[in-house]
Amino acid sequence: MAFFSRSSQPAATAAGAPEAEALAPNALIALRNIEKSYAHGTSRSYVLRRINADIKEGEFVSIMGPSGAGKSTLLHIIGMHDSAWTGEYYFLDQPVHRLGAKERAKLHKQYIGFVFQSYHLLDHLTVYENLDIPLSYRDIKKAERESMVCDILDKFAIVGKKDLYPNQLSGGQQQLVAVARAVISNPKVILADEPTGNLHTSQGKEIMELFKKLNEGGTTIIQVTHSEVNAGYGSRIIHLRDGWIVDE
Amino acid sequence: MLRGFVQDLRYAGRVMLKTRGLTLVAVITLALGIGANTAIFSVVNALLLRPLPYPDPDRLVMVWQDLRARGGPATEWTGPSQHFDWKAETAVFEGMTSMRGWNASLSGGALPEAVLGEQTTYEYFDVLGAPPALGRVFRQSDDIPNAPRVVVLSHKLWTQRFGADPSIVGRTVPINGESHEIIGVMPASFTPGLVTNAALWRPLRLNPANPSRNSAVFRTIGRLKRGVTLPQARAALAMLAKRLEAAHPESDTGNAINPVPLQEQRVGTLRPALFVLLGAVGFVLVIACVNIANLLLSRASGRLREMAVRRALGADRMRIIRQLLTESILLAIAGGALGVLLGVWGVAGLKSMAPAGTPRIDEVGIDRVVLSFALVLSLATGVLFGVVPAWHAARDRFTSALKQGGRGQAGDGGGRARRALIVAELALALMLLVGGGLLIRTFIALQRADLGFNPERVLTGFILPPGATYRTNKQRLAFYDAVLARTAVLPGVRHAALSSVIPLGGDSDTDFQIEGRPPAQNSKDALIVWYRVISANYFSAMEIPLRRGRLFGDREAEPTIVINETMAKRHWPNEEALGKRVRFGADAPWMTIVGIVADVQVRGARGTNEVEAYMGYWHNPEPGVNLVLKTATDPAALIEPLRRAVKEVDPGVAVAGVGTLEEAIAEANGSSRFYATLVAIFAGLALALAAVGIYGVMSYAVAQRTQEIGVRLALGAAERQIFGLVVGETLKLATIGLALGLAGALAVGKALQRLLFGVNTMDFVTFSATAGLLVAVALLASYVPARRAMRVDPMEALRVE
Repeated sequence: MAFFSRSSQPAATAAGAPEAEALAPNALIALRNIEKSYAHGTSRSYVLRRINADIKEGEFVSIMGPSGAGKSTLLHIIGMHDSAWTGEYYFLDQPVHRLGAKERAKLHKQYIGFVFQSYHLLDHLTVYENLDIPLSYRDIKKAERESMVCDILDKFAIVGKKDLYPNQLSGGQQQLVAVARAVISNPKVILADEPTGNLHTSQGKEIMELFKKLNEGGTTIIQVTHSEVNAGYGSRIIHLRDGWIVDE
Repeated sequence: MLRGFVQDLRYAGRVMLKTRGLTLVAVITLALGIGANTAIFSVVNALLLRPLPYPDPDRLVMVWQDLRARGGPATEWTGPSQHFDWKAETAVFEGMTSMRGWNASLSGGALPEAVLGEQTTYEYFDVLGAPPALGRVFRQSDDIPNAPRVVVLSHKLWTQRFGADPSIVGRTVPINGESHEIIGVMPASFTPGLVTNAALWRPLRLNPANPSRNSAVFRTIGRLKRGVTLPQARAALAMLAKRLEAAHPESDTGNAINPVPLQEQRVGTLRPALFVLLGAVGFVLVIACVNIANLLLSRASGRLREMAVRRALGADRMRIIRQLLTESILLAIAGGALGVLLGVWGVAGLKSMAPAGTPRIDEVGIDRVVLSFALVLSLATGVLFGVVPAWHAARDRFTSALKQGGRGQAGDGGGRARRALIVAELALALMLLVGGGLLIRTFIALQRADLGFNPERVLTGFILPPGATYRTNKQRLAFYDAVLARTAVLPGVRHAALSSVIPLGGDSDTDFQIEGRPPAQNSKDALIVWYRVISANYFSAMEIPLRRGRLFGDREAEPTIVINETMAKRHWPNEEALGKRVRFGADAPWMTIVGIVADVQVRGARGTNEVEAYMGYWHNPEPGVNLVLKTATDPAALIEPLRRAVKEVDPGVAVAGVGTLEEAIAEANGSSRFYATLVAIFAGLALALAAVGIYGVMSYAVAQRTQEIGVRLALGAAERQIFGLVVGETLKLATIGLALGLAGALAVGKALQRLLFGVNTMDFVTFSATAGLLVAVALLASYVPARRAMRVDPMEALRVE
């Protein structure tokens, strides 16, 4: 007897949990029966239900769905920020669900970059220092870090802004820096949570073009978005509703 | 305006109730600060501010001989000649009295009772302006040689020993072997002029004809004539001194007269220590205020939107500041009320801890002045800790708070102000800790100081055979011999010795002459020696080491003396002192120096080495001596046997001031212990408050930076790096606080200089230990917030978008 707060289930999965599928070849990320729920007294409400998905290296995936569908939660699980879920998660064939916090952090540091809707640049640090932060957490020597930051400043054409503080930049410029910060440590995958949500259309387009370029360079992109236009930049869309994958 | 105030007050009360946790912490913090200040101020009030309990106390002066012109002290005791010479200066003084302590043995009980009293000139009670409760006080006719013995009782002695008998006046009582008529009883409120706990008084019966010009045995109090100022008195007395010098060059050359206001005399020496204590509690209060200011800043940051709405609705800046100040003042008054209660408890504690003999300590209490002080302090602190948060909340940049949709966050949320306050708090705490540390080190140094003798298991007591019975040297000698013989055989006694002077028990000096050197022509050039009349085994009893020569044998007939190393070095710097002869008075026999012993710190560890000489009591049995028993067992167990042994020799002689030398040393160090304990308590309080402050600020900072920490974690920061972020921030604040505090601590060391002993004002151990302690406490206080930061869930932290 289960105490679900939800009573309806999409037809596609109503028959019950599918058997765990074998891992697809070349899968960067493989999710099997991922579930996340919160207990409320004797009942339990689910945020994600039986998520099964494979994302190959080099894909540009958009996760879409209405508010509260579980998009951001899924992104954070993929980003290894969240460990309170059940199911199986393989990242480059490594079973994340069996790894300890330290090993997950190591994987995360090595392969994943994050871009947020609100940019989340650190207010009291300059553009240069914001870019340096992820590198400083990866125990890279200072000289090497300097050259990496200069490279990225150059690549993103923001050299002239390196000494400015975030509040001296426009929203688009801030998100540009945030993307630069996400790619500076050369991740295999960039997770972006509504990266254009706070931007004007033209600024948003600029960022999406940037993602496309990065993807063409081999970086896997997984974005959460409400925008069909933005989703059009990707090669694949995962639709979520009430925690279930309803369409792919 | 008034309606607005009432509204502010009502609203402030509601805010206090709504934020009960913060209110409770703030009130308790403030109560600790105000309680400590109230307690210490009550001491300052009673000792320094409240006038002495005599009519027109401003006109009372202690009059000293000022011997600085001849290398002596500025406050030398007086003698009969000074009393009569100065009293005659009627243009200055309305009246003058001289007095000395009196060891009285009251006979009649199972054991004679040793009671402290004063022997005074007849003007004593009139000069102090104190009428009796019963009977009369002294008349001039009571104070002439051979006048019948009369005595005035204290209220306490009358009540305790005589059952408050209303018909006591006229009865006689045997004191020191003489019958005394009780002529009066003083009221309970009377404060003696010299001996704090004097229980009875009798006239000195001085002879005004040809008074001694070379003794200094009295203390003299004068009452200035109405309208005579202290500078006028000084000028007139300077003229008098010149006249006396001209009239008596042999004794009065270089003698000046030094009148000191009695209030200053009584408590002046306590002033530096009291100011130190006031400073210490002041620091505690400032730290408490800083903590509360921080709490209010946090609350104000959380209420930015409320303030912004108020501004948008038309409240001007001053109106907002007034509202917030009303809140802080209300908080301060609540803290002040609780603080006064703590102060009452603190005063009781202070009185029980105060070193023995602290003048006016009985008068310490919470009175109207102290209550007013507490009220003013509360209001002032309310403004002090309320003004920064109020200013912060009433800033003009309020629109951003509205735009942020009520997240209650703008700018750095007062972070800079909060950090600055924490730095100030740490600096103040360090200053207090260093002060406390230096005083503790002083106390330890005093306890460990080598006084030149071994005080372990030594019992002492003073015996004064009554002059009426023991008139001659032979009679006194027989009495002392008998007492020594009886006490020596008491079980547990290893040595029964006697000495006219024991460490920490007063001293007496005289002038002397060295054989072969020209005698001094006047008192200015006289050689001074502090002399002790002792039994031969005194050195063994006190374990005073012999440096050269020999000690004298018991009852050695030859006139021999033993001197201390300082005397040998000072008077025979380049020759052997052994074998040299000195004499004490022109007609006295020459005495040969046979031994040199180590210096003894008779005045305690803070004393200086003086010229001292010892002679056998059989050559000069003084009128009163100290018994010194070195015991093999607990000396306190021998107190009653000692009293009984003396009573067996003479039932009329009491043993006064019986106690162990170790107790006497502890008592002498009592004030150091008192100040060290208090400052250490206040420093501990400051440290605890600083820790609470750091905890509060860092917790708040972590809460404020949750999102930032989430971002950092999302960008790959390890937990230890987040931990380091918070602890590092604390360390940065602690370092700045330490740097400022160390500079302040140097000033504290200088301010404490007069109270220190055996420790440098910049003592490395104290400075480094207290700095280390402060850093450790700061880190500890930031540990919990740092752990909390480590556990930030990045997903939750970033979800706010």
